[in-house]
Amino acid sequence: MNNAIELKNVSKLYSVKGNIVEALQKVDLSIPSAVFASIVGPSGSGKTTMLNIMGGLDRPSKGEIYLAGQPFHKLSETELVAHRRRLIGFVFQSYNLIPNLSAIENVELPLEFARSGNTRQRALACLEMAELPTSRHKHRPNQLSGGEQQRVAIARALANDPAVILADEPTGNLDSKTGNQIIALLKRLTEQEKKTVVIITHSPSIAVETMLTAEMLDGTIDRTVNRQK
Amino acid sequence: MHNLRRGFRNVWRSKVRTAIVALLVGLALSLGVTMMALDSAVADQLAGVEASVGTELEIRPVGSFGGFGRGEPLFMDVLNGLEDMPTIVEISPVIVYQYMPKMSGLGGREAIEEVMRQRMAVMGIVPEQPLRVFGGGVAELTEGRLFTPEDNGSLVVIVGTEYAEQNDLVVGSMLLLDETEYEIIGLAEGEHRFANSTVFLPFQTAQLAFAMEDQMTQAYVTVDMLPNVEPTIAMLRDAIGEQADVVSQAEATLERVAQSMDMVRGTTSVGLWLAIATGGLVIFFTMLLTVRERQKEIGVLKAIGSSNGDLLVGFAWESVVLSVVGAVVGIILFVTVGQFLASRLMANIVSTPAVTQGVVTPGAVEGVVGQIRGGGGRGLFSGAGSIAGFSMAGGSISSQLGDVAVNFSAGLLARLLAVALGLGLLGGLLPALYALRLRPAEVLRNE
Ligand SMILES: Nc1ncnc2c1ncn2[C@@H]1O[C@H](COP(=O)(O)OP(=O)(O)OP(=O)(O)O)[C@@H](O)[C@H]1O
Ligand SMILES: [Mg+2]
Repeated sequence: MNNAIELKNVSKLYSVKGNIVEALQKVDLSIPSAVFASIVGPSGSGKTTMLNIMGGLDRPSKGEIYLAGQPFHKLSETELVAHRRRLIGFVFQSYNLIPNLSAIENVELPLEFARSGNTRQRALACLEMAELPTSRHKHRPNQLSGGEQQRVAIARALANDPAVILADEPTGNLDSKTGNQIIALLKRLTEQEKKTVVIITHSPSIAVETMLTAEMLDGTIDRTVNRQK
Repeated sequence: MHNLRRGFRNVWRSKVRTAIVALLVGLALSLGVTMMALDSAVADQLAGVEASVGTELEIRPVGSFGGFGRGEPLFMDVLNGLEDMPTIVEISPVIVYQYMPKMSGLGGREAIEEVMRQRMAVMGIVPEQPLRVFGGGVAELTEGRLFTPEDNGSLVVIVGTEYAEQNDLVVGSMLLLDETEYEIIGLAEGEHRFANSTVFLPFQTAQLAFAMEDQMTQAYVTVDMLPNVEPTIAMLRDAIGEQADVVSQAEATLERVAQSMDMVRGTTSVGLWLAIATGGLVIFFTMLLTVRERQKEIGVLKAIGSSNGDLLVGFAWESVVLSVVGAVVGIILFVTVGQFLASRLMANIVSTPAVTQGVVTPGAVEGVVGQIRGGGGRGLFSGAGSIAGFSMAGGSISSQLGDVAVNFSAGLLARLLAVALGLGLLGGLLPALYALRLRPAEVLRNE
């Protein structure tokens, strides 16, 4: 299977006080490996819901998800944790670094969870990939700018060398210049490291930077735009 | 390992809160240690009292308070078959006799002094058994030799050192007793003056000397262990019936002391559990608050690959560290304040009437002994016997209770740390389980 991510007929229902909200309705989507993809759409259209289901943070009500060939919809909770750790890196809008750990310790965290050795060395390599200046490695998150924090978060996502990076509005809290730098960084990861990167964005100018865009509307994929040559 | 280090660091994320929690837990635990210290002090006291009372019983003539052959005669056949009781280690019949030489015809001061010097407490002792002294304790040989079975019935004696000195007696010299001469084969010394003016005869020799064939004045029964004392008393009373009284040397005293000590221990254990529960609740609510505050972080940790096991270890350790920090504060509070409080409390407990009632202090015993010795001719031993009857055991109980120290010990430290560990684990358990149940997609949503 050369698709990094495949959703087949995926639905997600929430019921709130008897009302059923259909956040995703029979979504089909394939994202090939080493592709920089984006998800766009109005607020509440189901972007985050879809990304979380792709990443195994949430389970679908119905349908199948394959990530790097793994049937995520069938896995037990423990298996899901293990595969998520190995296959996926997450980047969040508000960075979500652990406040009492330094930049480099934050990057070491997923390595420790994976019980890998040489965490310091690997973390350094990742911070380098994310282009965080060495002088910032020992800083706590609250001693870093938003852009720097997001670089640490990306380095953390890269730590276990995952096939896929999922980013929910990674530039949402950044000014457009810094945001563009982050997008450029993510783009390089697909080109140089052959990562599959999926971002959610509200910015059309960012979306056109990506090779594949899924436009969502009311829990469905309205249209996919493929800019691959 | 990393989980532990992170858990440890997490404790210091909110220093003010940790300080307050440590103080609260410390207060509770120092109260807990105080209770533990009190309890073990009381347990020590109780053990001391029990040890001093010992496992010895007495079989006495009906109605006597134990003493110089007062009351009904006690015949040896009372003891028949008693050796077969499984809890009985040894039965030692004795003859206790107060010997007064007859005043010589001359009378006057010198004659009285002569009588005073020669009067003696006589103990008839079965050969090869300890040289029991009337009123408690045993005398140890200082010179010469002990009785052998062959001495039984022969005219030999062992003399207390003080008596020997006053009457210029040495090993080998002869002692006159009711116009019969006895050879002194040894000298013996006991813990108190009374023992040192006792003269010991082989049991059968004593029976012959005082015309008490087939009789004794009392018998000491040694029980194998303390818990068997009560049942053995019951069995003996059953077997002996109306022929004699069976008494434990300080049965009543022991009971009274034990009762009030039990009461104290009951109170301390309630206090201990209250303290532990308070500490546990503080830890529990702190950890619950912590987990709720860090919901999103927990979601992130799960998203980046933390297993439930990793999370659990981290939170459990954080909770244990918090609790141990509390314990350290508790130790400091105990050593600086609690210890003295506990000692004061213990001193109060010890001096309550319930404990001291019926306990004769060593001073009082000395007084009685002194009175016996210097009491002059009139009714020399009347009444004194009954006091001395339970005096020695009582005396040592009271001296045991006198010097109570409530100290911090290694054992106490170990128990405190165990409690802290338990509190940390238990108090942190539910909050940690709550953390495990958080679903990352949900907690990460509130951006
Ligand atoms: N836990 C939940 N319970 C009930 N409804 C939910 C839950 N999570 C999401 N929804 C609903 O599902 C729909 C899709 O939400 P989602 O967060 O995926 O939208 P989104 O496209 O990411 O929006 P935004 O651009 O504002 O982030 C929304 O209508 C939301 O109210
Ligand atoms: Mg969203």
